[in-house]
Amino acid sequence: MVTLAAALSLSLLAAVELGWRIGGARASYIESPARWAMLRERIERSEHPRRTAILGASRILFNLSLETFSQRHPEVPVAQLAIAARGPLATLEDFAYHSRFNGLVLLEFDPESLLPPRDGEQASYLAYYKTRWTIDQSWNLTLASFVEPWLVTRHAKYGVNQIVRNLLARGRLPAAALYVTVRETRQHDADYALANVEWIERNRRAELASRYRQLDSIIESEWPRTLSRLVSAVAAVHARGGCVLLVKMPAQGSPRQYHQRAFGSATYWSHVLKAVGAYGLDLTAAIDTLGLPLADSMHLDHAYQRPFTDLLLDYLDALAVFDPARACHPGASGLPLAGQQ
Amino acid sequence: MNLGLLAFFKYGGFVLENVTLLLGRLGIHYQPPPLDIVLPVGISFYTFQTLSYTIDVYRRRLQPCRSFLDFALFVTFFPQLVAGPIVRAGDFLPQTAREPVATRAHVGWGLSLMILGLFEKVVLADGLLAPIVEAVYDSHLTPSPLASGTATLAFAGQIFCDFAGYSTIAIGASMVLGFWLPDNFRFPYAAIGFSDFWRRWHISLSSWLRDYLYVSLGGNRGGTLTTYRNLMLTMLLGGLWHGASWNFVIWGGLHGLYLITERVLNRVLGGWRIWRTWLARVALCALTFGGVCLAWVFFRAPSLQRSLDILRGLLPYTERQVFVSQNDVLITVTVMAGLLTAHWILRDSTLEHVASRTPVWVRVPVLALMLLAIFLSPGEDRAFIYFQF
Repeated sequence: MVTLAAALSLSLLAAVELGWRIGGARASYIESPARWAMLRERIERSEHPRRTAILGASRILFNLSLETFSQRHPEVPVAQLAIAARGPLATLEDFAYHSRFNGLVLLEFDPESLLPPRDGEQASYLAYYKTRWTIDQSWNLTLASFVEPWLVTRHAKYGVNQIVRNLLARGRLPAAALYVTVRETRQHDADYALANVEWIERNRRAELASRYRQLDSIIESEWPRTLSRLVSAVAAVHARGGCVLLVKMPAQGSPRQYHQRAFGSATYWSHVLKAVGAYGLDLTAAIDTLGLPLADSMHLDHAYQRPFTDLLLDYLDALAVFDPARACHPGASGLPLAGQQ
Repeated sequence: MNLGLLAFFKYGGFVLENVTLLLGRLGIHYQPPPLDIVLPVGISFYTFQTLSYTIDVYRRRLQPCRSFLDFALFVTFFPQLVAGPIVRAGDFLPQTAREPVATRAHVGWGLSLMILGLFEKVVLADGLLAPIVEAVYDSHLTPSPLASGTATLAFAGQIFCDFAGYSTIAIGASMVLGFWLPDNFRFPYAAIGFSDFWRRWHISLSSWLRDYLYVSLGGNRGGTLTTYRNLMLTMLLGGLWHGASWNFVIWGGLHGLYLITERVLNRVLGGWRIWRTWLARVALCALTFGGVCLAWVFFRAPSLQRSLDILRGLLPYTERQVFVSQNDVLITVTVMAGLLTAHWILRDSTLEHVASRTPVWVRVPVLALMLLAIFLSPGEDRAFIYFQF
């Protein structure tokens, strides 16, 4: 009887898989704390002096092509540790105070995502890495990695929970198209041709309006403390011979306006770079020069990841940060603070 | 020796923390170094198993086991090692005296139970209910009455599906290996009264507490007040067994209070005929479920303060900061309505009985759909709740 049930469920699964694929669904690795923890552990264990950890939120996650990175610098191990919609300060502090990491940290710099309450948003991933990332979890991930790129139905979007929620809310199944797919390296490829950009932007406008309204009251009281945490964390990495680079990711439209209004460049970029003693790359203007469109005012379509990553790497190469023989932060060798590139 | 190990590993930090607090209140500032004790997996379960063996041998109810390997198998039998059911030596050791037999029927039924248990855990507990519970209980903000109510109701479902799911998998896996384990749940949310609830919920623990603690304290042999004291002590220690925290003590204390109140009311009103009517039975069942849910608040909340926040959230005048979506409410109500109805319909039956009366053409598609739902339930990896105990 159980054999019969197993055969029947396999047939049903095949039918469901086929149905989703006909509807346009694509298989993808699944974003999870386990995949993040695997990369976090791998970069921790690497001995390469310029191994690179990318920290931040969705912009540095969606805009960068790790494939391009590896092609340009095949010898440099790189870990994509940015997490969409979560401020990176907790992860930076973990690298600073609870790790021996002395490689290169590319930190997406967005003051709003560093302030409370967003400063602790990546804590759950860290907690998973610290307390639950064990050998059995590693095996589970390895097994899952065999299946995920082949089966659409392994993705949570097509799971029972989402199906039930969509049926209850809209009376229909979830839309088949998955506009962000994830690679094994956690490179996120966003195909905005499949996304409802208008809906995304409308929601973001509402979210930003609410978030920045609350910000007014906390910037004054919280920013000095946040800056002090940032300075200490960067100093701790630098003291071990490592290096932190601040990267200001581009934005257009209302996100850019909100950001410029709340976080003036003189105080929140130039001053911060001086305070932390780090190189900084402001890619806002560069993206305009290159003419790369931000599909939803904040993120690049995956078609533009390569030129954007090339641009970033050109800047990094100009600073020679991948050369272990050279200092990768201005304070290390008494260089004048280079600041904005 | 058994209890000493449990006391050190599980309660060492808790005792130290409270002693420090108490000394602080007395003006003595003592700051001990943190113990950082790593809790051995399943210690609460195998401590009780080995205790029952020792006591049964002492009481001459059981012959001492002559084989170290058999005894080791009894203590470390992997299907139930981490979260029960708590197996008595008298039930398990005789099974080691013969070759384990797993007939085709045993394997089939064992696998069916494993599928059912996985369905309860993966689809219902983790997939549908846990996110709703976590959004409210793990937040620091005050929930709305609807959020408090929905999350608590969802937790009632989650803890049942999680724990009963594990027990069902354990029983099924044992059966496939040719061993029999006792039932741990018997449709508990259909209980009429709290003593009935404890005959249906975590049966292996409640019967252990009854036989080795409540009876040893004197049970109901020493008069009314002594009986009430014994009930309360048993439930308080039962609560503390779950973890070193005041929340578990309060949870146990509430159940002790429920049991005492039930006994008092039973003495006064128990003779009335009205209790035998269908409507009264349903009302009593609902009342029992309500009391159980109220106690679950303390069981689930990460701190005493958070328990009070959740309870305060149920009141109409508090400022609301955490809400639940209409979907969350619908999912919770639908799952719980299904669960409660199933418990009520099956309350005097067993799964084996139901399965044996169900035609194959119904059982096969049901099992197939459960398997499909398990596969279609990827998501966050959540450990079984009782693993922490």
